[in-house]
Amino acid sequence: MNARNNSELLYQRANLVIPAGIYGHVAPGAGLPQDFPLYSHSGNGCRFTDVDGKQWIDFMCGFGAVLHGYRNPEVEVAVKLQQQFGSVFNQPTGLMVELAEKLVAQIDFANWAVFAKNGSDLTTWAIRVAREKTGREYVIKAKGAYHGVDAWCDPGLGGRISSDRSHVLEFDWNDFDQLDSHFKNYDGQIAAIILTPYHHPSFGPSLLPQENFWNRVEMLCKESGTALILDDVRCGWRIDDYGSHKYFGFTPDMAIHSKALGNGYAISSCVGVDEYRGGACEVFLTGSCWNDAIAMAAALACLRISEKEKVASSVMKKGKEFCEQFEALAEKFGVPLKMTGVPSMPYPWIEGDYNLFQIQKLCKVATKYGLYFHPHHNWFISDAMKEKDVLETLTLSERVFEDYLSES
Amino acid sequence: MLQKPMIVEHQLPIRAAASAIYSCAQSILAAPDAKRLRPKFLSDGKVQLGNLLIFSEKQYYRLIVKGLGTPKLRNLFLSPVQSIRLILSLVKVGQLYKSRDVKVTAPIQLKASLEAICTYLNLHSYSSEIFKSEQGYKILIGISNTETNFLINYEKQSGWKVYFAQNQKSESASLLFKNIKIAQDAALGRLNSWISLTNGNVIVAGRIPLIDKFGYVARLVQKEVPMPR
Repeated sequence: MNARNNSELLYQRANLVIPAGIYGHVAPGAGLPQDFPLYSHSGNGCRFTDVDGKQWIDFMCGFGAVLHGYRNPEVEVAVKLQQQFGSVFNQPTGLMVELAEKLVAQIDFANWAVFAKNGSDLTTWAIRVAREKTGREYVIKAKGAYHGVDAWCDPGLGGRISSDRSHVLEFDWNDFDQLDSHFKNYDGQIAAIILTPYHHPSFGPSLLPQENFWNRVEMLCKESGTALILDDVRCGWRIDDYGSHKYFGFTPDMAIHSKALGNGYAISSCVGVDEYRGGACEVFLTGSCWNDAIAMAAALACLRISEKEKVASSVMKKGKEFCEQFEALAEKFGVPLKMTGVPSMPYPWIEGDYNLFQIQKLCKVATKYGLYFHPHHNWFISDAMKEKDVLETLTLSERVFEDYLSES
Repeated sequence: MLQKPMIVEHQLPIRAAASAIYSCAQSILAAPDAKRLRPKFLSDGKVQLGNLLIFSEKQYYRLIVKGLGTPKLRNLFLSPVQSIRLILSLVKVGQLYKSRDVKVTAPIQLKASLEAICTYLNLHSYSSEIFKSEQGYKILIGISNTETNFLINYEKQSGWKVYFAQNQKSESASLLFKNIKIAQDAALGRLNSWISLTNGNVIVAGRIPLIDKFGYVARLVQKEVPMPR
């Protein structure tokens, strides 16, 4: 029996009824199509089991959607409790107010909060709020940064028309002069800059902000009346329990969160300063299930856990220990690998491997040992990962490096 | 720098098909005969072969798809022998697509389809735009366990071009067909690229964004460019 029999059978069925079978960032072609499982079955803590019964030590956490571990007991209790009452009604529940109050209390610059289901829902909405407030059209983003699936920013190729990006300007991360030149060339026309806390593109190493980068960006926005929008969807609650801006020492006007906010229950939020409240009132915002009380109950539980257990510090510490040992192991085998970005979301980069052949090979070998290492995307450290999991990973990684070198 | 000719985008499928046919001709015909099939694209949208036969876009399309296309008759009567020789060359190319000898035909058809793709990379506005950032990168397209390997790369003078790959490993990304039959299916537009990646009929490695873009343009060509049936 093929080791991926169930995965492949499901995929065959999927291709009859789902365009491309599996799409988006989890499409087989985006990872290792021959080696990664195509479908998951269940998960617990920092491990998941695929539909063929193989268990994996997970370094992707549902592409970041799960911070506190699969089926975290505290989150699941909150969810079960709310399930007794229902999820979506004609009106929102009191949980929406409670969640907004919690976010406004936790995030220092926040005066208000709104909710949706995905990061993309609110990155696009926040830009419209900035346009409403400023009466300007242009938006600036960093080249290669991911902000969602809408036409102004999606990384795909299909369905575009030329006007989709006609008001989007790009600059190379950390190149402040390039950014500044956009402000000069489009004086008085830039509504917003949208950036992630640090640069974490796919298919390339992560880049931390250079010294003073954020202060200069913040100053530029203030001077020009441009909204500074923080896309904290991926990093939120992984770097700092009170917003990633705290870690890097700046203050945005709006920040969008999702992923870890619901620990796998679909929810996103945008928080903002009072100055943008009026714009937020004017830009229409809704979705069929966006008032989902179950996801809001999950989010409240996640915020409680993060605050109580200082989860951001915890995953940063676990990530640091893992990354240092993983790099040391690579060095022992003569592989020039560095973990880039922040330790809770490391991106492995092999020196000189610009076309990714080597990291693909390394991650492919890792699949043999049940290690879910992604070759093209930053990894995520689960807070459910315990010392024994790290040790097991490192022990298996030793064999991974051995095999990797023997196949070279 | 590659100078883009002034072309109307709706003529591109015919252009791409003509470059594919010329590629086949170069592979199977003696050089002088192949040269006669080198297409010239006239300003009125007509396709001229070997200074002799001129086809309207519609007739050229019929010629490719049905094997029956009527050229403008004037030259046919002025140089009947040359014209018939040229038509016979076209028939030979057409027969290539009917042949069951996959080992012989598949590599030729694969190269022809890559020529069609390169036409799009150079002349199709959206395709050339998305490939602008890929100049300097090379993509290897080959058939596993065979010596059939092609390299597509960009040169300032000629734009995106297909070459027979030499042994050196210089590619930025690779796309390998599992066997010759799969390669032929791909060349003839019969392969589902999504499924093929997953079931191992196509193996990709390297710079995945380049492969994604290549796949997008290849599917566009598959959809738009007429193929012999």
